[in-house]
Amino acid sequence: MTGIPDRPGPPAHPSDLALDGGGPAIEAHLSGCAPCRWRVEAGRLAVERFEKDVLPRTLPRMRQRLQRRRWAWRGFWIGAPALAAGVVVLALQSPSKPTGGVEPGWTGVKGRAAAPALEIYVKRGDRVTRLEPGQRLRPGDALRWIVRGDRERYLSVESRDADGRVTRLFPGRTDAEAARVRPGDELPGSAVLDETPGSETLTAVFADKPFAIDGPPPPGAVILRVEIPKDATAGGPSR
Amino acid sequence: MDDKKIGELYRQAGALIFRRCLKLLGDPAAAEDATQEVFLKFMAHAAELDPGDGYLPWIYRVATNHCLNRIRDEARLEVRDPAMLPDLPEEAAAEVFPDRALGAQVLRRFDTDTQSIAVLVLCDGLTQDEAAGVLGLSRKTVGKKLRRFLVQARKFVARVGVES
Repeated sequence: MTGIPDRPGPPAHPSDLALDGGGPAIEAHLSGCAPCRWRVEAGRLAVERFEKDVLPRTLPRMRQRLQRRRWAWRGFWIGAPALAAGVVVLALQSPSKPTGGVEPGWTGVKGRAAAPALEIYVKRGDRVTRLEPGQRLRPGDALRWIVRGDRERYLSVESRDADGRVTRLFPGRTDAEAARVRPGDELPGSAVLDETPGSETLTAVFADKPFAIDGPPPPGAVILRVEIPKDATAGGPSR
Repeated sequence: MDDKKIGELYRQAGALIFRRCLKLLGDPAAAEDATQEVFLKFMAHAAELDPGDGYLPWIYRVATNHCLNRIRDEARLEVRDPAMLPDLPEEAAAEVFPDRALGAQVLRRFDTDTQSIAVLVLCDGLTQDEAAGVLGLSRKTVGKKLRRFLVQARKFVARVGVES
């Protein structure tokens, strides 16, 4: 039987991470190892390129983007004490106890601050706001999600429109299993709503162990579902 | 946080992020774009991170994940449906599957944690303990996913017909 080595290749060479860490042992190794000195030099050249070329060109834009984000997040943190009541947590379900349908409205999970949740943010034009209970979405709105809870879990998120079309929102469409997330993670990418009239139903499945997305939710999974009303056109009322 | 502090952090962490992204993407322009996106994520979490380790574990984890997603998304445009590809003699397969596209195809078959483990251990030379530390996984999970990756990746490459 072929064993899987801890690290393929010559065991005497430190990893990139170890090289970055430096120290007497690393210095001693480098003094006698040309390939590793080359690795360090390649990294140094990349840093030099960043400092001389990339940083001067991109720092002003980074500051602008961070300034815009700062304004968008300010409202979120001010509202944090009341956020638990508005968090998109609705219709907790256990796979063994189906509720038989989606319940409209919003429900805070009182006394269960550790329960997993998704906070939803809506970008409309250049404005980013937290999705509020009862708020209506419009075609063209882009949604982002922040994971909340007390521990790491595995998560999948999908959306179903009024025509019954299901779109996988997280993880990526080619991933077969739910992805591991931590509290505070902002899910990558965003979902932009199309013109299909009717509401969007978001379903998030949280579990403590990996699970196949196309299969049934595992026992003990927390299923969060919310129905978000959507106007037919981009110029419709916002609430 | 004032502009001066942002500049200091961008100089420190941005350089390390750029170095990481350049290694994975191989293209300075792509690495520059990726650096900005990853730095934005960094700033959202900076207060929770330990500057004592130079933010390295976080940078390795998040930059790797970001770049792998980019590689995977770009590869999706190049090879839409493997079943549509004609059968080729072995020696021609290498031309149709340049290394990068093949690497992306292989990685795409696995979950994001396994992709990161494969890159950290097989490309960056991290030990499984180091990879576990960077990714926040147990050593056992890293070993298990790495074994699965090696076995299944080898099968896939053998099926495609590219010489190792």
